[in-house]
Amino acid sequence: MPKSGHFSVCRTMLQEHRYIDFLLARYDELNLPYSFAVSLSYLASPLLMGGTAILCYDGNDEVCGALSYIHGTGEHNYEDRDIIQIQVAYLADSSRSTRRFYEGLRFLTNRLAGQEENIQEIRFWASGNARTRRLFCKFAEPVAAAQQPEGPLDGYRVYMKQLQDYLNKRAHVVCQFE
Amino acid sequence: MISYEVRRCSGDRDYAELSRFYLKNCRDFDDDYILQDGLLYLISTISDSQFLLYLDSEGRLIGLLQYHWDPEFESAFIDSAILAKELRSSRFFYTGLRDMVTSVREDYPEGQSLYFYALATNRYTNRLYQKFAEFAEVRERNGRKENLYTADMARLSKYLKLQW
Repeated sequence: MPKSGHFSVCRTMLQEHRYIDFLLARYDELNLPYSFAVSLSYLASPLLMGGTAILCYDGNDEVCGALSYIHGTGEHNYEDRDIIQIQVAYLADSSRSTRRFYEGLRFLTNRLAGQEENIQEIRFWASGNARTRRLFCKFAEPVAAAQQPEGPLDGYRVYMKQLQDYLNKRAHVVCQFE
Repeated sequence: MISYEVRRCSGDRDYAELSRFYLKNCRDFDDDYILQDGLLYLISTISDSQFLLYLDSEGRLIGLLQYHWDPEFESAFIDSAILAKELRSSRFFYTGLRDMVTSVREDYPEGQSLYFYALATNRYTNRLYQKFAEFAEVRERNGRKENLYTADMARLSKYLKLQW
């Protein structure tokens, strides 16, 4: 059983640097379906647009994952700040576990619940393969699809209330892993 | 002098590594240059730039040169030259300049001149550039004053003892 880790919001430039450096060091594994410059603008957007970057540390205090988001959507000129868009959700292969996945979701939900914008809705994109669809359709609703030269993408939406209910229901399931 | 390999950037893996290298070193430019400046710079220039990468014997990036073609000036502009601290020496500077001129000539044989920047406040770089280039104008990039220098390709090649 892996030693427990923790999630932490990047608050200093050193931590923000660690976030972007961690992702760039694993760029190939991120499998982003865009040109490098476009990918970099997505990865960096939480640092450039007043969003939030979160790092996941493993039991040895090494960074093993990253999670980030920005407020608002392009269609509304990012003024609809009660919607957040996940920009990055990545866990290193060796650190992936159901438990850590739900810990990340819970950390995110708790943080969003405490934000002054009164967050209503979370949106994210994921590669359109059967495995990710199965995973994300458990708690989110597919609302968009896009075809990139490198493969299909699905857009998802989940309301805060829905996600909180889902996580509460799963509390006992997660305990089995602990 | 440590052994190294120089090659062109090819592919996303190289872009990712050179971005890491740039972001790690860019705060040496001056005290006000922050991570966000480096990110915006990379996002806006990376697609239109050529890069030469210097790697040590273990394949780690220890230096990079960035340049692009400016159609208005019909010349190549050198935008960044970053070396790991252990490589910073006047000998390596000239080695790098030769590599640079060679690959710029390969990429843009029609280019008559080469342009490059020195931070206006950096006396060392400005004096170094004045040895082989002429001051062209002052420009503002990323909110800081920089001196733009230009060198005639044929004269520069001769100065560096490159075949013309």
